[in-house]
Amino acid sequence: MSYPSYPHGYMYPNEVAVGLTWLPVIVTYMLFISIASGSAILVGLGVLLNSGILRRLTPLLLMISLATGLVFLLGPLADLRRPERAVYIFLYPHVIPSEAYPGVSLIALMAGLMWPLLVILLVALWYLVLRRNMWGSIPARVVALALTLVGLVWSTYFALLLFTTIPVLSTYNLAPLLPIESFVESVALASSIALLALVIHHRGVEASLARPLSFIVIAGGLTFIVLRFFGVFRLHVYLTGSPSMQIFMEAFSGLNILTLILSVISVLLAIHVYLRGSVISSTLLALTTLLWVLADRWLFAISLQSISKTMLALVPISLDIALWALESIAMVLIALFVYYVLYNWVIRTPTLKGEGGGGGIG
Amino acid sequence: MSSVSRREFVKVAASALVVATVLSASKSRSEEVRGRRWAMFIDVTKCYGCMACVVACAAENNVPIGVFRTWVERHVLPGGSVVFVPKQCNHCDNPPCVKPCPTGATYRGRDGLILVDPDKCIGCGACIVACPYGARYFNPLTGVADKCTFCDHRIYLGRLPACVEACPTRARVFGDLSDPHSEVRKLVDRLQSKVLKPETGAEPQIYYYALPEVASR
Repeated sequence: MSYPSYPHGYMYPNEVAVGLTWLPVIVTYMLFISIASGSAILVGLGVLLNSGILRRLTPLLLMISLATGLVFLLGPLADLRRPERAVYIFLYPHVIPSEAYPGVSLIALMAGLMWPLLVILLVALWYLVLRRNMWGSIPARVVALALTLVGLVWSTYFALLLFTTIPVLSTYNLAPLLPIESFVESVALASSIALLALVIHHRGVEASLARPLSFIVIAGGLTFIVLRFFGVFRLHVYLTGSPSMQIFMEAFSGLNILTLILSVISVLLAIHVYLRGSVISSTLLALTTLLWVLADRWLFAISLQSISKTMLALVPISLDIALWALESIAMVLIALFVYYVLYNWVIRTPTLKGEGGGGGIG
Repeated sequence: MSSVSRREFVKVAASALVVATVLSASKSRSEEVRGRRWAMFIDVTKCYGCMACVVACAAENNVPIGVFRTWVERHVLPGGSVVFVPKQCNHCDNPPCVKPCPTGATYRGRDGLILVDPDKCIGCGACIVACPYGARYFNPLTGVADKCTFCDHRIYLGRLPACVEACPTRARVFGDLSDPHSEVRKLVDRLQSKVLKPETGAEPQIYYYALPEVASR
């Protein structure tokens, strides 16, 4: 092991040819996964913990999770070199290890198994809780538990990807912190998006709903800040002074610092919303949290691709924004369309009534 | 009642068929894995950077311009001397590139060769990202992942890989590592050889002699 000098190196010729996948559509995909999984976790926990507040938010969280969950696979589809073969993931999933096919593909596992499961569980919970008014029943709790676990796995998906190829390097690079960070980000982002949706639906802020949602952002934000600060500090201690790491560290540090600043602003805004919620601060909170997680997902995109390499794969950045931004915008518009359909024809209300009210709708 | 039973029977039978098909496909391929263990020994002191191997490989395998199945790195040592280090896919025993492939397009094939089935590759790039040696690339002509095959279309006809055959100094030696009488086995046993990035745990099957530290990454 030559870890004291790790990482160092140079770019391989094929790395120059392939470059770094640095596409907005991939970041949008990761962002959508965070929103879908965070909302799924919140709605699942609401049923499991019999939370009155989360119960009121069940329709909204289900709509957000379904709207983003149904479309997020469009992101990688747009990124495939042979998109017409995407269905092969379902036809020939690499999920049974053998001598010829060692290991299990996390991509196949998630796309072929966990994605359908997420959608089925969300629909099942909608049916049980909103259609049949079976809140608190055993079947609803079982579905909620499964949904929470599936949401948990999805929320940590990208961090888990780091471990599937070369676990020793991922561990060494302190990647074990990433799944926790990714989880808290997902829940905080889902809460912020729910808050924004509430503001849009109700044209105002209802304190009884805004306070718990902002509290989740505060808790998630503070956890994230502590973990990330520790991770960045450790990376700087190990990597500073390596000339070959200069380019990587500049972009890596820049995105890290941006992520940290945005998360601090989010926490401050969440405190403001918690104390005296307003439409402006709630909207700003949602947008800042979105930017915070966006910056961190971009950082993930870099980490994912550089973790097993020379870590210099950052150099040839060619970002065709005009092309890829349109695909990202298309994903957002499709998600909004799905949300619109769910709101107008299926779920029909963003929130249930308070204690004693609510129940079966739709 | 009987119609329900029939439906259930069809469901169970269909599921069993799918599982059996998947298992038998993976088993038949697994049986091919065992056998010889193709490996390469590269004597860095013999390489003088003529690039004949690179050209031969590109010509033999129709490798497009800009990407490489094999390449030769030039490194300047602290004393000012220059070394040339040929690199390529290491056909690892514990291949990091095979694990993330979602469709099984990348697999460990006959005699441990790491190969790509171009008809199953969806072009996700997971294997390219996973390979710690930068040995994989997207073939710009086909849109699928591509890499060195140790010239599997030649070696089973008793010929050497194109890069080995073209090397004017015999810096590359190819053979069956599991055969104690093979030249590659003897060289690996006799000379102190190194592999690239051993810390990844990939267990590469390209062995280097006199590999300088600066080129070992």
